[in-house]
Amino acid sequence: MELRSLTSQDGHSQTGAAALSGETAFDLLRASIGRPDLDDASLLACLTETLDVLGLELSAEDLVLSEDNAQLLSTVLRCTAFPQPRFPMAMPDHSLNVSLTLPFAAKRTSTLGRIAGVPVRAFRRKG
Amino acid sequence: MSGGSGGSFRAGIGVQSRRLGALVLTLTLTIGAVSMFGTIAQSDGYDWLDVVRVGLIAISAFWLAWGTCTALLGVLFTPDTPDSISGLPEGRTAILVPVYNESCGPVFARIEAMYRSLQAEPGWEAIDFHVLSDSTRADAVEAEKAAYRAALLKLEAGGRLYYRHRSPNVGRKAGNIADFVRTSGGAYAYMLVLDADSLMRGKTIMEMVRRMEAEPRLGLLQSLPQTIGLKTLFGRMLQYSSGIYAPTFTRGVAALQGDAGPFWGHNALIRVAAFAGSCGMAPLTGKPPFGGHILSHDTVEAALLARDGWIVRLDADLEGSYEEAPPNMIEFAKRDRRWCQGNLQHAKILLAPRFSLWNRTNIVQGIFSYLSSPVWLFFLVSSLAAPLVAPPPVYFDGHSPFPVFPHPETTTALALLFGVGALLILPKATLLVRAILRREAWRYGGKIRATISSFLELLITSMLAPIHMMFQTRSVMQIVLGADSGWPTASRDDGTISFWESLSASWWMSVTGVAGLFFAHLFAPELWYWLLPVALPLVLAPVLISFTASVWVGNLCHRLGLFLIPSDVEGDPVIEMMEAAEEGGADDVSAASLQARGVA
Repeated sequence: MELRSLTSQDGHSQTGAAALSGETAFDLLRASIGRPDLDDASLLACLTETLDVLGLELSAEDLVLSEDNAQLLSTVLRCTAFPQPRFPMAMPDHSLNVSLTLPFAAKRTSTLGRIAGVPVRAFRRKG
Repeated sequence: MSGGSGGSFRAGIGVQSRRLGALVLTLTLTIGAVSMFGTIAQSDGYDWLDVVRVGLIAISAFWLAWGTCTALLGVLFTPDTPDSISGLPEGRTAILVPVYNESCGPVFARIEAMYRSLQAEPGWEAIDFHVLSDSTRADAVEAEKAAYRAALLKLEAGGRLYYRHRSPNVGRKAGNIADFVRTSGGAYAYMLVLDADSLMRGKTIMEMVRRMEAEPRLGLLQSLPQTIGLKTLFGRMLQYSSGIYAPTFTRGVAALQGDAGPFWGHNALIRVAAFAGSCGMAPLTGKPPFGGHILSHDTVEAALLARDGWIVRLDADLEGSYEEAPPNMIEFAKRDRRWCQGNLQHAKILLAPRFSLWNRTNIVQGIFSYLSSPVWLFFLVSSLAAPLVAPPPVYFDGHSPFPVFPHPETTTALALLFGVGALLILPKATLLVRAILRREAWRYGGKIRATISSFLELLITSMLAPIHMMFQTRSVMQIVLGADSGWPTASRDDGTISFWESLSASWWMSVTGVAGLFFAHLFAPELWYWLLPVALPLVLAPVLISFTASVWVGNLCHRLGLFLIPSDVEGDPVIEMMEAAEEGGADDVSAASLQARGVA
């Protein structure tokens, strides 16, 4: 994944220029911060929280949609607590429990088993 | 993972040769010690207890000799310069800072220092920080959130600094890291796993990433963290020994381990895909302490990576990697208690499928690093008891009309004593001489001060060794018996412990020491003086523990130029930034300040 540089001037001028429609503005914002995993609602929630923390009387929608707020948006983004990227990776668990199964004895009794007259299954640990 | 090239084949042969050489030398020294002790023990006739003692001395001597061989290998072995790419790394890196009810100020001060240090490096934009909280106390969680918000505003690190809290903290730290991988692992090629007390230079982090990119088979790259930030005498000694001895000793470890190197759980860069594919660990069957989630996960993760063909490497040349450590013996013993349980639990996975012989050897070493204390104690106790069960001397054996007196083995006993002493002292002495000859002693205060520091460190750690033995033996016994007597005191932030706090933690050692001396006086008076080097520190344990926990004594040593470490002498900007961040608060990033900047 190509995450972004929030401090990149290119990224923020793109964001600032995207005032034609809400959909385009949010798409460009996602692209500029490299967070395709964040939907519009999540972005707005993050920005609203930051505006509250900063004590700015401005709505998140206005911040994103208005061309005049490009520099402010850049600053607000740099102060925003985004959630962690949602890019799951499979991590299978490996069992390290030692099996007491005797080798070479899958379908027959082991030597020990033959001597003792006990099938090899008896030597296996359950679970 | 595919196999290696001709170069790696030759390297593999080299590692095998070094392992064989170290094993032969260790066995030779062990056989020498055992035969000498056997000669001493049979001077008054053999009995069953002598057999036990010979077995115990064999185990102890092997362990001691193996450590000496490792240190000597570190002196003799010069590793190849690792490959590193010259340009900017392509893969993104996540720096993971797991926290668990820690004090937030220092944690976020370290993050700030690393963040600022990284900003000076080209390519830093490809690195994000993730604070992964497993905290269980509500007040700790709230403090973390506030500290995170403050750091975010101060650093303007939105989109680069993340915070996540999870509850319940399933699987502890291993579960915490696994949770990150399963949630966000796909966004990153590498992850730098830290501890809450870890600190690393930005330059070192970038160099580790470049080395990782240069070797596609490298699954984990471990740096050698230097201990910093301690003010007590105990802490300063710990810092000094980790600074002057650990790099060379670690080279010896690397010489023996080759591509199946160690993972110490932090200050290591890991290839995320390799970790995700290889290192998921299901809980062990059975109940704790031996069943359940694997506690000391790092050794096991290194073994899991190696068994899937990934290289696990320790690069001891990487500087600028730091950690903190317990400031006094009580805190040290508490940490040791946790590690001891984790390492003993590894007995259950020793025979796990597909582990390499060397990884199994590593696991055994980890277990034995704690079992060696009870072995030593058992040897001392059995030696005290030996005169009670020894057969009476036979002056007339029937072959001679004249009395035959037992042959005195004083010379052999002294030779064995000096031999063991040499094995204990030789590694440190060699490493000190090496530092002086290589003109590195100035980094530790100069030749004279480094020599005095080494002498004092050896003297004081020798006095503290019986106390460590008792703490570790108690830990092993508690774990085996499934008990935990708890810890009586908590030290202050600077690590100081009062005499009374020390007494409440170690009175039982004083009682043991006095009882041992009294027993020896009554039943084995010839051993009384031999027992003093062990029994006396035990009797004085409360004094020694509180004395070595003194910040005043630690600072006095510092003013005298003793126990200095390179960061004391040369300074390190990342440490200075951390200290400045800890002293300063958050910047004002309010609407007013934004207006002042002309953006609101």
